[in-house]
Amino acid sequence: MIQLTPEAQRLREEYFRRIRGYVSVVGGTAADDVLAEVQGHLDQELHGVSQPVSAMCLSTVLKRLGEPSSWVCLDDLPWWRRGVLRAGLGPDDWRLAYITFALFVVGILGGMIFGWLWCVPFLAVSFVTARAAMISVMFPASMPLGQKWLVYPTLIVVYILLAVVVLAIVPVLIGAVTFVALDPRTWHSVSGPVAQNLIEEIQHWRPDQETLAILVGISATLAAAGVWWILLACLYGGWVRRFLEAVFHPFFKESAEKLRRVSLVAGVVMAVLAFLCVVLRKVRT
Amino acid sequence: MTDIFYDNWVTQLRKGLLDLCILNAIARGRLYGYDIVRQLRQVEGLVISEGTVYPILSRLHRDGMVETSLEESSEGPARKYYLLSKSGQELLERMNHLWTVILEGVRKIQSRKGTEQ
Repeated sequence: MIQLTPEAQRLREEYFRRIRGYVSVVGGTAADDVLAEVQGHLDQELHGVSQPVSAMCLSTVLKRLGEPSSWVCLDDLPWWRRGVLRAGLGPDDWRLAYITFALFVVGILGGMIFGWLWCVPFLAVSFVTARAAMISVMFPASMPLGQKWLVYPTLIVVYILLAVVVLAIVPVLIGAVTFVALDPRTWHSVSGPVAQNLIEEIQHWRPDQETLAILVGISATLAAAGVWWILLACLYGGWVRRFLEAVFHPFFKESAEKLRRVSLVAGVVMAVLAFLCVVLRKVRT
Repeated sequence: MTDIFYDNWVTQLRKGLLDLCILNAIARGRLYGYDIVRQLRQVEGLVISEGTVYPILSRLHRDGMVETSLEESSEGPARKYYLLSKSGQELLERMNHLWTVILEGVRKIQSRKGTEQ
């Protein structure tokens, strides 16, 4: 019996669960017999592989075996039984893909005509159905090309928006807070003798305070972006990676390492730019 | 459009050929599932999902074309061996004959097309 890592074990159990579901609905074959065949195949394929076998290694073998539905002869069934089977096992893959695309198109067209707020609920529902369509196939790479064309537009649009939020929220917030804190208009809204003394003191020290607020705000945004992106790249293992993989499924997993490196390099570049901004300002003063 | 047509054509072709190849694989002697898959792998483009081989074996067994026997293995769990039955042998002979006739016919058409050009 092959030894599996916990992640590989979960993958195996999920594969077996799905096969059991198909076999029990189709009938004609005992689920245990089919699962024994699958296990026998896995034992043979993974014989000689260093143990415990990783999820990636097991996934390669399972991909070659194909979708769990391939373990039953659906084509041998009459059309009405295939219909019952699909209803029993969940929504039809293609139907979900069509719904996803229809909602996406209605959202975008409606957004162009009635304003972009219109497309938010359509895009949100389209995203949910797109994710459901992705989950209904065990291996996203094996999804038929036609379905990808129907499902991916929604995923790409939503993921780009999410990526912008994840990458930009911290630097933009820090930049905005810095700008507001240094902007003299903010100080004038503060009352009290201590605040007034402070305003006079700073205005005496630097009369072009508004320009300074903008410059420091930009520097702070760049610095925060640098630190935030480097932090994201460093915290990449464990739950952060799993979280990002789950959020950006199925695009993130394949290019995770590449994105980590890009994040690290971009973070360093931003940090250097922020440093240069500070140095440049000091030289000018 | 051409790609869709080609994909459908390949799917149909594979379906029929898989039965023929599986029956031929076990015609030379009993084999267990994984061994059959390994043999079919050598035919490029024939098997996309290896899992599809097992339901076909199961169907052939149900139809009486294939006999099975379970044997203990020193390498792991008991293995299910597949062997061609008497009616399976007769069926395979007819299938092989038809396949040869069709293949020759197709080759003739292809070569005629080549000379005409």
